[in-house]
Amino acid sequence: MNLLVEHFMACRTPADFYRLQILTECDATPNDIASLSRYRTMLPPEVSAWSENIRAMMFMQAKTVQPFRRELISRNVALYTTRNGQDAPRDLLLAFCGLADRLQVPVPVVLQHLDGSRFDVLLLRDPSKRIYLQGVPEYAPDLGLVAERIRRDIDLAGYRSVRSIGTSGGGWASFTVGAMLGAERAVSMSGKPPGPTFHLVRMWEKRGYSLNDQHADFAIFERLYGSIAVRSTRLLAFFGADHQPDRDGAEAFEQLVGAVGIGFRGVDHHNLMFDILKRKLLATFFDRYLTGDLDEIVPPPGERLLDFSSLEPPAARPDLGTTGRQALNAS
Amino acid sequence: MTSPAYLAMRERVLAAIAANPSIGPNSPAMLERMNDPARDCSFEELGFDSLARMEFCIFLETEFGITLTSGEVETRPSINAMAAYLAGESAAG
Repeated sequence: MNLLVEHFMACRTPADFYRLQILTECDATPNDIASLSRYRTMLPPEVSAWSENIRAMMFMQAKTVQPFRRELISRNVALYTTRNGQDAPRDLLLAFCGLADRLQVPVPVVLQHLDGSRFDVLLLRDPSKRIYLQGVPEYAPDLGLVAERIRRDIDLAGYRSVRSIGTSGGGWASFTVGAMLGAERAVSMSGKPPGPTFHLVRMWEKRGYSLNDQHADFAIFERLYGSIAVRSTRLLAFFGADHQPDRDGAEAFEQLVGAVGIGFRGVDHHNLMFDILKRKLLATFFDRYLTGDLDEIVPPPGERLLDFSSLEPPAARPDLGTTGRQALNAS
Repeated sequence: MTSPAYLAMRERVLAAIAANPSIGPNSPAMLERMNDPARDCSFEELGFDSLARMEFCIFLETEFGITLTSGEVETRPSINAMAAYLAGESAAG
């Protein structure tokens, strides 16, 4: 029997189940979720309903399971890959989770909407909830050292290109580490830069986290942002156009590091990824903004508020084989 | 509703909200409303989603031994409704 199923069957209280559910949403591969689905009759009804919900989200746009496997690099860093040793050159996608240790939607859902034959995904998170101000716990204590550690752990030269994405509190980490590693592009989803004028600081204080002088040297950010802005990495800051805090965050990124802010109309909340997902456009969004030609996808100034209709799915997708998505846009 | 049992449960609900890693910051006005037993605040206003509901249940069970399901949170969708439910009282009382 699948190990994950065994773990679920060993749970005794709702809290046990919820802990494992949250962990699964933050760590699992699409295959893990598919396995849970196969054993759903052996699971408690609420767990079965939850796993079917995740499965439904996974198959919003893609039908063939992306066969990622997870290789743990550190407690909070994992590489997801479908590599089998005979692959064409790949791209490395750095993915910085937000406060909930996911990419606004569950990790297996995101992986399932990526092209596993093209991307390896290096997933990083900061469970200390300090939005990477002290790097990635148990990996490297600031983002500069995170970049150095990635260089040591991953053969970047073996990749065709490096790209990065970060959601919410991971947005600025995506920009920072992406630029430091010479990423071709870096994406922030509903992110905002840390700084004394932002409400995140008040949130940390409210939650009792110390922001002593050592951790609140915001001049560091000015120097850091100055160094990011002159690098060649193209920075794209996506936001819900009707959600003022995220609009402000994207504008701050524009001013601080020269990012291009791109808003989607009709989104009045923080979770932009979920809005894209529920419209069955997440694979299309990734195809366009993670892999598309930058000259074609960056809208000109003054036209950076988009409708979701701008993410027109292609009429037909090529068969990408056993590791690819074969039936996109199926209902 | 001001019974000691209700007020004690309301404090626990507030503690579970404050500790919830999935909920964003609250405005001073909302914090004031949350802390006033005479007023109420819906979980939706606080940004509860499915993850926040699970975290809420985990905290209550871990910290106070209160066993609660996510479905029970969904059907008692405010601070006062949840406090009344946990205290075994009618929310309308």
